[in-house]
Amino acid sequence: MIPHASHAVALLAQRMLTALLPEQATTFAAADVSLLGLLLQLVGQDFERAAQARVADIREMREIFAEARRLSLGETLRAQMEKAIAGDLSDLRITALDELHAQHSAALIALHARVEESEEADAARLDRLVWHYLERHAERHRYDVDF
Amino acid sequence: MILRRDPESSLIDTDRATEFAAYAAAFRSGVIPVPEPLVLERSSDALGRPFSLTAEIPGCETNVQLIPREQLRKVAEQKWSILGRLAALDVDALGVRADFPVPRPERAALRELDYWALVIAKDALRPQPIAEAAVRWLRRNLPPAPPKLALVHGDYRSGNFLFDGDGEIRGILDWEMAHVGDPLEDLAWSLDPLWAWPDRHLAGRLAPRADAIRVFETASGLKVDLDVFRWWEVFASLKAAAIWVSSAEDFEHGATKEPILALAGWLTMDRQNRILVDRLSPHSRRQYTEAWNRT
Repeated sequence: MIPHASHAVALLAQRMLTALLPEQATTFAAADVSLLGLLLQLVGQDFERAAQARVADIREMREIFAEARRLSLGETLRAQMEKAIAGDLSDLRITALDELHAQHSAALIALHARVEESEEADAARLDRLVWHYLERHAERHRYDVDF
Repeated sequence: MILRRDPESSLIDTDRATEFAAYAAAFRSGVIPVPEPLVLERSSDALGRPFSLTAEIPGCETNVQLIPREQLRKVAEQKWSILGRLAALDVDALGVRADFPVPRPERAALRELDYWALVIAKDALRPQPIAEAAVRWLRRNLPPAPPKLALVHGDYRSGNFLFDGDGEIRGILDWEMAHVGDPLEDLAWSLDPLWAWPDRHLAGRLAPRADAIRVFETASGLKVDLDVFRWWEVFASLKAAAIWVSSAEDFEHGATKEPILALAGWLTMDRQNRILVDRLSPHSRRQYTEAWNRT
């Protein structure tokens, strides 16, 4: 096993872009190889952080849901959030985390929409919390590539 | 001549007839440089899919990174002057009513928003909290009716025009998303920070966005109300996000596995999410957006 898979994938991407790309006979083939090399770079970056970024997102969304319990949200939304919170966070396979993440994100969308319309005192604060989360979420999943 | 066939899969849902009608209208106007449209074949009998033929404009490039620094201003002036001239053209004089639905002015923004919000609702492989927040913000802050409607290119950005070695823009390309609407839509799209990546200070990698807006205003005779324009800027970023969402869906479930579809749903969606948060978050540091800071 190669211990630093993320680095290894980055090296493979580099080889694709430096050794294979110039050998392509047509513009279309060269463009495809260039994009595939770029995509491989993204995979390399994701490999390292995929589980951590998803778990961090889920934990932050759960904190928001806990804060939201003070608001009058209606039974449907409350149940949606509680179901998400009850989800098992011990399975760290990416497919399992993605499913749990999607469940939380759907609840967050519903909560955010409700908060935007609410005139309760805590609503504005919760709206800010959601935006803080969205900022951190966007940064956590950012790719750094020269493209 | 250039032959273009409807693709099996692409970044956008293309329609060769829409594009051909827009080329024809722009060509007839005499003030918008486009390749001369020659033939439209709507049936799939001859080449398996509909296709069009246009005249070739030889000796040109589309990659603005190839423009020498000393020519950037010249190209930028033309790019936003042409857009201003397109905005100034009268929809009836262009003769596009037979090819494009003409919305009531007060419905132009909502019609576009409904279309792209539906794309996200239908195609998202995962919930999109940032894009959905943008849709709700846009619905709450709909702009007033524009002073005039125009033929909107729909994808007016660097990379979609041909320029020659003297820095002359010779043809505006890729009219697949053309429609009749608010001319500010094209201006906002052309200024989206995504097209400026990585140098967010040069709109479309050509000029400061305040300069681009001024050139557009002069050529169009329209005054850009920055409060109204903000709506179109957020919309432009949302529309782009919808295209990336749709591309990812197409890559996952569609007929072809073009790498560009994967990249659009992956890298560009990451960037577009950051742009949308930057535009809308109450604590935004405005890293990517600057248009409303014009002095």
